[in-house]
Amino acid sequence: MDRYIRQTALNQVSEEDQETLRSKKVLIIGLGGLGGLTSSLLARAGVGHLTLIDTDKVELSNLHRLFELNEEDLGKSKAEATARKLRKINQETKIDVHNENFNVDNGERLVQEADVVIDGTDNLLTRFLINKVSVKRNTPWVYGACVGTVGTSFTFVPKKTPCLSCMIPKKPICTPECEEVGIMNTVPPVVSSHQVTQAIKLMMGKETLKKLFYFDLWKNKFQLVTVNKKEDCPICGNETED
Amino acid sequence: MKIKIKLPEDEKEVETNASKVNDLLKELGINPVSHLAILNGELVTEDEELKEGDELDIKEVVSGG
Repeated sequence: MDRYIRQTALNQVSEEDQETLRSKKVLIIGLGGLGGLTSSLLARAGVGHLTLIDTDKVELSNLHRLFELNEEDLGKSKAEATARKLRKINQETKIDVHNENFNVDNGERLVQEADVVIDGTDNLLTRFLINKVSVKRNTPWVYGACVGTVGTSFTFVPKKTPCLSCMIPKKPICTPECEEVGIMNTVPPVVSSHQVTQAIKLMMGKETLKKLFYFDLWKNKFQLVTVNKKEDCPICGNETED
Repeated sequence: MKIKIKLPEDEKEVETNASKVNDLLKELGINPVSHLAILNGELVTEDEELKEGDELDIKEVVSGG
């Protein structure tokens, strides 16, 4: 356990909590600026099993915010290149790789096998699918998104918190994309760090934040926003705590 | 009535007859589907009623990653 002594030295993390992390499995959907760092933080923190899924290949324009990858990874699968780095970071963490998109065919099985799902995707359609499957399988998931100098995160726990459809009832056709308005490379690490902290708390059975974290790093604005569960939500409306 | 409104690039007080969040967003030319409406610190749906002195914070839905 020497590897984790700076972590278990925290008042918030006991050696038992650390052992708990080793027994957990996290599904990371998307391995861009968010998912890549998320996977690294989780492996370094001692999570026992990570499942990575992404169909994209590493492009030059990714490297300004993919902190675990470098020029030798250009053209290679993001999921496989990330897995190779993670295995060098922590051999104790088991890594599964899926070179495909998260979709209706594989989604339910992948979510069912995970203790926590972390969002590293770049689109809302996939997030609505994650939400639907996670509510159905009663699996918590941590939403994270960023564009420009803005980032946001919310920890969805079925039966305990609102779901994504409570928060965004209608699917927006058009939202700003990183390709159009850019992304400051300091923003994804803030989102990812918040997501991973919440995921670690979930895995350790500790209380998580029940508010939307929304920030603009450029403007130094950090907000927590109350989000209420919608009783008539088509996804989680009938789901109540046992 | 007067509503204090915070937009991504602007912050101002507006005089409006809009009774609901959706009506005010339309007045301001903002698409309610691609924005979050935060009324007095709480995320609300577009059919939420407005009242004098409310503070409405409009944020874009963030989807990148």
